[in-house]
Amino acid sequence: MYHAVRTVVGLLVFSEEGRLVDVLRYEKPEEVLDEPELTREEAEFLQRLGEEVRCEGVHVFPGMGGELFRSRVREVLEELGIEEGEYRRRVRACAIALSRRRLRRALGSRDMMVKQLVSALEELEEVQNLLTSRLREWYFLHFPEAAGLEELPELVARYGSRENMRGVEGVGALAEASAGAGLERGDIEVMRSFASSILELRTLREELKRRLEEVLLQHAPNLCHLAGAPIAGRLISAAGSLERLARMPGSRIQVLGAEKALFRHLAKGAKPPKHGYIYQHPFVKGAPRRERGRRARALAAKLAIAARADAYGGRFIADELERRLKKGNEA
Amino acid sequence: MKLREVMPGVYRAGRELATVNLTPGQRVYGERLIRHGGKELRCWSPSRSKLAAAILLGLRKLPLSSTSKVLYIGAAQGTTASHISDIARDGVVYCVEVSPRAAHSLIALGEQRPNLVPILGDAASPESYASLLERVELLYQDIAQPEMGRLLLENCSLFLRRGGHLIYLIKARSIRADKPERIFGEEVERLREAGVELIATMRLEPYERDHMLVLGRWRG
Repeated sequence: MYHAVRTVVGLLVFSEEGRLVDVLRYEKPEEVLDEPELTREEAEFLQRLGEEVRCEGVHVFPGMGGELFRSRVREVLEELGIEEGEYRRRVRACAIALSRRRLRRALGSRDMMVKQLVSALEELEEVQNLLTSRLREWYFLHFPEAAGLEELPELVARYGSRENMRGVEGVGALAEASAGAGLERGDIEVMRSFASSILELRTLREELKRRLEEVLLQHAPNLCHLAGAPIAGRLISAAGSLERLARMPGSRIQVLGAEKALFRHLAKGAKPPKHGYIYQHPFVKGAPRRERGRRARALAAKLAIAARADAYGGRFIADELERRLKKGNEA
Repeated sequence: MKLREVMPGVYRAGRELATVNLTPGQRVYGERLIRHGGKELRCWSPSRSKLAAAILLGLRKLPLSSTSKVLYIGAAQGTTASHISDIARDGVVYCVEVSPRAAHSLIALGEQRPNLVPILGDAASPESYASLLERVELLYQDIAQPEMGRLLLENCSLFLRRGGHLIYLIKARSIRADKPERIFGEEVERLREAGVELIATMRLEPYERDHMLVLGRWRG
């Protein structure tokens, strides 16, 4: 049996005794090295040798061929008539080209897009809350009675001063008898712009959510159907990728997003968390308190199955999973 | 300022370390450049590089020469790797990094430095970079992975020469949430069991919390 290895200079074939038998030189090694199977050229070349060949990285890893090359690079290069300096230049050039290709592939993965969308959404929500509470305090000067209203940003953006709110349903009466200060027009105008910006951020948030859902329905349809886009996105983002999520046991998925509580449990023996991101799921959140742990466990188990189906190209099984989840819940 | 060569290729003046810049005029991470005896040196900050921290904390021997071949696993943007590449100027430093974000900078660094080979690859699957490598004299590993100890030994057996050296950065926090001392003990024991001859171990406080550097010789 022969032992082969792909290197920057080409496909090297060694005999059982470690002698270099033959070599198929590569034009562009960076195009070959990441191929999981033998290329047609390689396969034909090996076939012509008329001996069984085991190639490192294709048939075995680690392999004898690789070991034979890596432990005596200098001797092998000499046999091939390649200068060491020239070899190093080629290795570096190939590594750069190969890494670039991998980088492009990695950046193009849908997981990366999901992660950015999820982070953008989270940060946007933070900013919204921050600005909204600023508006409340600010507008308090002018109209303290309305500062706590849920729809304050809309009201301010639409009407500006409290005088303009007289007769408006819900706040009209409050506006008539307000204890707030009368402000200059400039003050009101700038608060109004501020409030409009908050509303614009809301539109942006809806757009982000919509896009996240579109991306996830394609990338992880089962997970997205079962968990809903925001939770599915957070899970993928926390795991690092869909594939890594798929390799996690349900029990791990159950506590993703509850790291603080989990480590407090592991380090100090506090109570273990029942749920992380999946708490936001109506199936868990909507359950009576004492049921939540049980439901979180069941949901996480089904999500693990969904993630695996998505990562490894399974069919659409989310409806079936959902049915079983609900059924298990009745029992 | 008085500079003294404390190890081959490593200079020191008071609390500052520096290496001779392989690519004069160019900075890698915004470090200070100094002229000294017709050469240009790059300051090597212990707050940016754990190896620099270890040297300042008393690491006496660095198994590196001007012709060393090094495998650096977990090179990130190449801050420490660039100084190793300064020292092993006629050798080669194979740098493996898994994060695309960091690898982007590392690739740019590889384009500048003729002895630095940047590889976007994963320590957990050595087959992703085996075809670019050869057996080396020094294996340096600094990764944040719970499995870092097992991966170190696997990579050593594949890529480190018998009698070669290894530098292993143990990040206790990345292994699990437990007392760092216990984790360090386990990791050192793991190396000992694998037949590694321990040369030095050192905690990296105050530069890095819950980190330990281990220098050993591979007898594999």
